[in-house]
Amino acid sequence: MIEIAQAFIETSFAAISPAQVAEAFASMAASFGFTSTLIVDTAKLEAAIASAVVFATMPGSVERCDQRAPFLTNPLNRHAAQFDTPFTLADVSKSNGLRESELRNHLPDHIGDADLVGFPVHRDGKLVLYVGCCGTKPEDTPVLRAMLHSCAHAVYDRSTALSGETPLTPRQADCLYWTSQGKTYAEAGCILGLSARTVRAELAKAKRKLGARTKAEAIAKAIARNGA
Amino acid sequence: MSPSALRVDQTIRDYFRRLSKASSDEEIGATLASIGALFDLPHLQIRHSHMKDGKMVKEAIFRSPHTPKRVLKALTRHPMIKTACEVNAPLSLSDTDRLLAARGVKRSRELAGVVGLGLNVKSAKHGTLHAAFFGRHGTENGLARSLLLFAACAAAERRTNRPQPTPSTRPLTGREQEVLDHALNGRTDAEIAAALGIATRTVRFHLVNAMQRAGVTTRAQLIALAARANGTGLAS
Repeated sequence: MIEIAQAFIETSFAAISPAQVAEAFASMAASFGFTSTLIVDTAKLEAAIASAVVFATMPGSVERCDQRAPFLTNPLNRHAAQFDTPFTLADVSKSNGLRESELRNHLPDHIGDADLVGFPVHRDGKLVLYVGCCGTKPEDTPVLRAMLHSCAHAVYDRSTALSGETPLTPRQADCLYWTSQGKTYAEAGCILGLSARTVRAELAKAKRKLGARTKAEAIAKAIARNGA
Repeated sequence: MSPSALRVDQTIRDYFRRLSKASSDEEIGATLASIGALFDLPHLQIRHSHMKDGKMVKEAIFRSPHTPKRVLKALTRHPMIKTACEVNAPLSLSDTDRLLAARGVKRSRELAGVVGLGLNVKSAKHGTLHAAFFGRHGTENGLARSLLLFAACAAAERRTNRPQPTPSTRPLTGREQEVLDHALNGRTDAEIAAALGIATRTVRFHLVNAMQRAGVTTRAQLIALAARANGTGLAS
């Protein structure tokens, strides 16, 4: 278990974009049976800025995360804002008196009757990042919860640090990351909700900023900057 | 220390690095104690109970050097320790105050003003590790609970499983490595060919072979992989 967490931390330090850190977290959660993960930047959500969803393993959950509706009307989010410890539906039900079946109405449809564990990340008494993991009968012990909760905090810190360390915008970094994963412009565009031409344009900007002539050089430079 | 000044990612990374070098219980304990200190819980006691020859053995494996003995004694007898054993989750002294109040029991005099967290790491193979962090003005928020329990778990695992050397990956041939180094520096195929005195098609041939060895399908993936390996010093 600790080896898995250690691998996550090292991957997150070598990451070139926030999306990559989030993906590493999701794949770590998946190895414990949490088949879907949703990571939401709650500061962006409250300011009603698009792309508050940092990462979602299931397409469809993004649309469900309605940015126009006030964030705190969802009882799950209200609980996350109030308590800074990992929680399940049973905990939320205890804190606000709603039945678990009622709480499920506030969840994306694809989750069905899977188990859910929420990991709220608080800083200075405020909810800054919400990480939700779902799975059918996942491995779930207090120690594992503590580990994933600590790593959720690390996701927040690493993403914040990444936006300060690289001269690249998160969008440029994300384009560069998916390209380094062997995706074509069109595939990367599909993942990020951009057109293939925009991905190309973002990569061109990234190349200029990093002082690289080729795509390969840009990737090498971006990794050398963060990975060392 | 306020949690906002704490960088969790760096804390965990430093912790793992120190832990991988630690060889004795003393070093592992000291590493764990320094995480406790981040939350103003500088005192730490670790005990380990496990089955040996059909009998339950309890041993103290670490104690911070400046831990007040009187408090430690009161803490060991405190219901927190026993309750934490039962619930197998982080439990703070203020949690147990609530439990005790229901039974009409007050805190003992020695524990007045003490803040602390009791943690348990159970495993079928290695028994139970009990860790008690405490101090005078400590934090016991969600982050402290999770991070300290996580760290205690890492300590317990590292204590029993010494790190194994990782198997090395199959290396590239000299020429493949040479071509890759040039490519890492942003050279085009034509430039690499000129530098090495070979044909452009040969450069591609070497790169394609390197990709196959690395198990990737595009040049961008290969460069990402090689750059990362260079950065961490795992391969050259």
